[in-house]
Amino acid sequence: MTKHDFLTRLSAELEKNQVPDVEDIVEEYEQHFAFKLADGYSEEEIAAKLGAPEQLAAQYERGGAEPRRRQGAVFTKLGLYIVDFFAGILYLVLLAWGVGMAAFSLCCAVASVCLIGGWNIAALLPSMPWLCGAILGAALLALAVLIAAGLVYYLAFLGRSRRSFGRFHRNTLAAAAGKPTHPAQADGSRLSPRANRRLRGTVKVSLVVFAACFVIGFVVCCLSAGAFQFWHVWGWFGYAV
Amino acid sequence: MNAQYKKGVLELCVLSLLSRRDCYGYEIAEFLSGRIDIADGTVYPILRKLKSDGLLSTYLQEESGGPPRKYYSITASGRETYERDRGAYLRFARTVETILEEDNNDEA
Repeated sequence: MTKHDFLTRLSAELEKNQVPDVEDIVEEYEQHFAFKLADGYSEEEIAAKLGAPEQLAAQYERGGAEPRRRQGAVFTKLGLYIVDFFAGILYLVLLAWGVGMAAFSLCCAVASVCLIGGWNIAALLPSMPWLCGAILGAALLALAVLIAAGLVYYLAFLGRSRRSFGRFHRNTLAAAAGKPTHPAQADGSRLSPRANRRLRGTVKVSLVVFAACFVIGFVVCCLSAGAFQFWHVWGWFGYAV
Repeated sequence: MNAQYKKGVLELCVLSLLSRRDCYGYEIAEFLSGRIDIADGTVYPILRKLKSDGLLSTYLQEESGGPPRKYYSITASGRETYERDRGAYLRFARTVETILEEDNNDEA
């Protein structure tokens, strides 16, 4: 089979299968011939190695179903904007929860520093012996770290959700316009294994420290106040004992 | 080897080659047919399918002494698909290898 035979049979077969852009496809095979001829192969050899034109043509996707789902595009867009609106509100609420957690973690950290340092600014902290305060302060510090680590997980989760929603948004629009869509899940946005290990370690250590310091602090408070309900002894709630 | 089975793997090979650098069609066809036993022409339908799936894009580049060449380059979506499918394929291949080697040990 000569180059001419091959290309005519290929384009005839492609036309028959209603494959779009026949010229573009045939040109690619023409270039293949040009490269191989320059390397010293004969037209027959090249055609034989390429394979049967009919079989190659069968591997191209058929066109035909071109004008589809165009009318639905407006409704798709409208529906998508409504979904966007509610998803946006939900996202803001989730984000506010994250800000709340961050503020709580910060409060714990500040309170623990004040307790350990023994500074009771404007008598905001309940009064107690320094040792009790220091142990409870350590518990609070561990709690602050624990919440901060939880916040990292939470924000990573929020970021992933936002990205996959964005992907869903773009894919829906692309599908409505008949354009190619991307894979559904935006991958590769997870924490790196090293960061993940470190974070898990932090959570474990801070959890143990928090539990231990809280129990020890409670016991030390009971002992130094001489009563189980030490908060009554120290008058934490403002009434006389 | 079964032709239908090979086709899915060929897509992965094309993505792998293009994730390293941009190539023109003939280069890709030569790269694959030099390593895997396939008809030279099979690569072009694969390139076209990957392009219409949005995993590849093309651009023309002038060459000295010849018509402009059509270069293929991988898109962000193609890279993402490649990373995912590559991991899945390697895990699958390792499992198959383990099973087949167990078979070998039984006979020996």
